[in-house]
Amino acid sequence: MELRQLDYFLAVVEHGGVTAAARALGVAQPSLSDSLRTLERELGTELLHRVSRGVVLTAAGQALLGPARRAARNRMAARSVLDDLVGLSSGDLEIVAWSVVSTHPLSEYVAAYRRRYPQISVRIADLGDEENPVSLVADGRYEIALAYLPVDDIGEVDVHVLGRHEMMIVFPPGEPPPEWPDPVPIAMLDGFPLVNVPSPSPMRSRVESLLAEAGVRTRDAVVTGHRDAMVPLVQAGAGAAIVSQARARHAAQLGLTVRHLDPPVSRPYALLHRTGGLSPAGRAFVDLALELAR
Amino acid sequence: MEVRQLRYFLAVVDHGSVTRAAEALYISQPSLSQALRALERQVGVRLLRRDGRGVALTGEGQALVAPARQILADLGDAREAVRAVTDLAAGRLDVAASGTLGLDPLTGIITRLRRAHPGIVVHVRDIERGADIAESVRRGDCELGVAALPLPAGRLVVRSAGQQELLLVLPGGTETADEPVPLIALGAPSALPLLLPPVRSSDRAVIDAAFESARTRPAMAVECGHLEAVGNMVLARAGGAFFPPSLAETWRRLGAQVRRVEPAPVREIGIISRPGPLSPAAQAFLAAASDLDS
Repeated sequence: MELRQLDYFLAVVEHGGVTAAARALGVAQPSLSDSLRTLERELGTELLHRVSRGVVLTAAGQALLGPARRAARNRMAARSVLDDLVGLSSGDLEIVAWSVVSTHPLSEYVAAYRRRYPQISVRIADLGDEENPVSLVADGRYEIALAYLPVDDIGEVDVHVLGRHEMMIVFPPGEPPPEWPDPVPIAMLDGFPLVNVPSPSPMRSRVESLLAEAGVRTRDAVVTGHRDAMVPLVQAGAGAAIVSQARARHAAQLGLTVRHLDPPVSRPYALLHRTGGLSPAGRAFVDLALELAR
Repeated sequence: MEVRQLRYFLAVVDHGSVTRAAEALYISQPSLSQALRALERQVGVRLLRRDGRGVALTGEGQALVAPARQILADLGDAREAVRAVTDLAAGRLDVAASGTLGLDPLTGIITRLRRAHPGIVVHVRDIERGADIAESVRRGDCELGVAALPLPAGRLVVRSAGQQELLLVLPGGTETADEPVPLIALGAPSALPLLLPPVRSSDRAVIDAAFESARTRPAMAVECGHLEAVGNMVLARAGGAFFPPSLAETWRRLGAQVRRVEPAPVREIGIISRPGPLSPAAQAFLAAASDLDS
C-alpha cells in the first residue's frame, strides 16, 4: 500500500467521486481510477461502490477512512517535524464545532491562529445535533472539537474546559418594556412568542423544564434548525429567543436588548483532542486557544 | 327550516322517490317521510305529492329547489371560509431550506407571513442538498422547500422566487481599487484570503462556479459554514467572505465593507412543493415570497 493510494482514496471520498477528485488533485482520471483499483486488489476488497452519481463507501471503505486520515495527518506531521525549526509548514487543520461556540470563542481563536500561521488553512465543520464530538475526534475524523459539556464517555480524548456560556434572552426591537429587570425571572416569559430550536435539544428541554417549574409556557412563533437564522428572525420581530451568550453578544452588537435569566442556565464548553494525537498545526492551535481562554 | 330538512328534500328531488332517497341518506323511510312532513308543516305548503310512480314536486316544491340548493352551497362556502381563516389563524407550516437561503430570503418571507398571519407557526428544517429537500417535500415531511435551482425535482412543482447575488464582505478599511471587485484579482496568490462555505455545499457551489467562470480559484483561508462565526472572522480581519444581501448589510453595520464582484455569484431560488392544492399557510407563504420580489 502506498500513501499516494490512500491520498487518492481520501480525495475521492471528500470530493464525492473520481472525476471531481481527479480535477481537484490535478491528475488524470484514469490514473486515479487505476490507483484505486490497485489498492482494492491489494486489500482484497471493494472500498467504494461506483454509482451513477458518484461513489458510496463500502463497509471496508468506511473502516479505512479513519486510519487513512490519520496516516495522511501523521505524514504531514512527520514532514512538518523537520519544518518546525522555521515554523509550521502549510497544511490543513480540521476542527468540528457547534455553530454557537463557533460564533464565540472559536472564530476569535481561528482569526488569531491565521494571523500567526497564515500558511495553514483551517476547516471548521458543523457538529450536528446528534453527533458525538468525542468519537469524531477519537476516530481521527477531526483533530479538534469544540463542544459543550457534558459529553459521553471520554476514552482516549483530552478535554480542556475553556469557560462557560450562560443562556440569555434576546428581545425583538422595542421589547421588553424598559422597567423589566435584569435578570428576567423566567415566569415573566409566560406566553412570549419565541424563535426556538427544534426538539430534541438539551438546552430547549432544560429551558422548558424551568418554565414548567415556574408554571408558565412560552409559545413557538418560528422553529428553525438554522441556528444562524435565530438572531436575524428576532431582529425582524418574529419573537424573542433564548440563546447562548455567545450568540447574544452578536445580537447586542446589532442593538437588540439582551437579558440574563433567573434562574441562570449555563454550561461549560471545552476543547477536545485525541490524547497524544496532535499534529504540529493542531498542537499550535490548542496552545493558542488555551492561551486566549485564560 | 333546518339545513337537514333541506338536504332531505333535495335528496328526494334528486333520487325521484322517498325510498331511494332514504337509502342514499342511510336513514329509514319512515324517518324521512316524517322529516318531510315536518318541513311542509313549517313552510305551510305541500312540497311533494304522491303520484303513480312515486313522488312529484308541487309547484311550491318546484320553486323551493333552486333556493334550497343555494342555501346549502352558501353554507358549504361559509364552512370553508371559516376553516381557511381558522387554519391561517392557527396553522403550522413546515419548510425545508438549504444553506444561507434559510436566512436570506427566508427570514424576510417568514416576517411578512407572520405579520399577515401571526397565528401561523413556521418550522424550518436545515437540509443542505437540493435532492434531499425534494425528497423531504415528496415524503410530506415538509410542505415547501427552498433551494437553489436547478435541482432534481421530478414531478414536484417548482416556482421561481427570483435571483440572489452573493456579495463580498471585507474587513473595514480594506483597499479595493475596483468596484465591482474582479474575481480574477481574488485568485492571485497575494490576494485577500477567503472564508468559504463547506466544500459541496450549495452555497459553495455558486461561489466556485463564479470563480471557475473567471478561470481562477479562490485562496481559501478558512472553510466554515457557521455564518455568524464567518462574519466575526471577517471583522477580525481574517479575510473576506460571501454573503447574501441582507446578511451582508448586517455585517456592514458592524463595520465591514460590502462589495459586488465580477463575475457575480448569482443563483436562482426555487420554492418546491407537491402537485395539488396547497394548505392556506403554504399559499400565504408563497404570497409573502412574491411580495418580497417586487
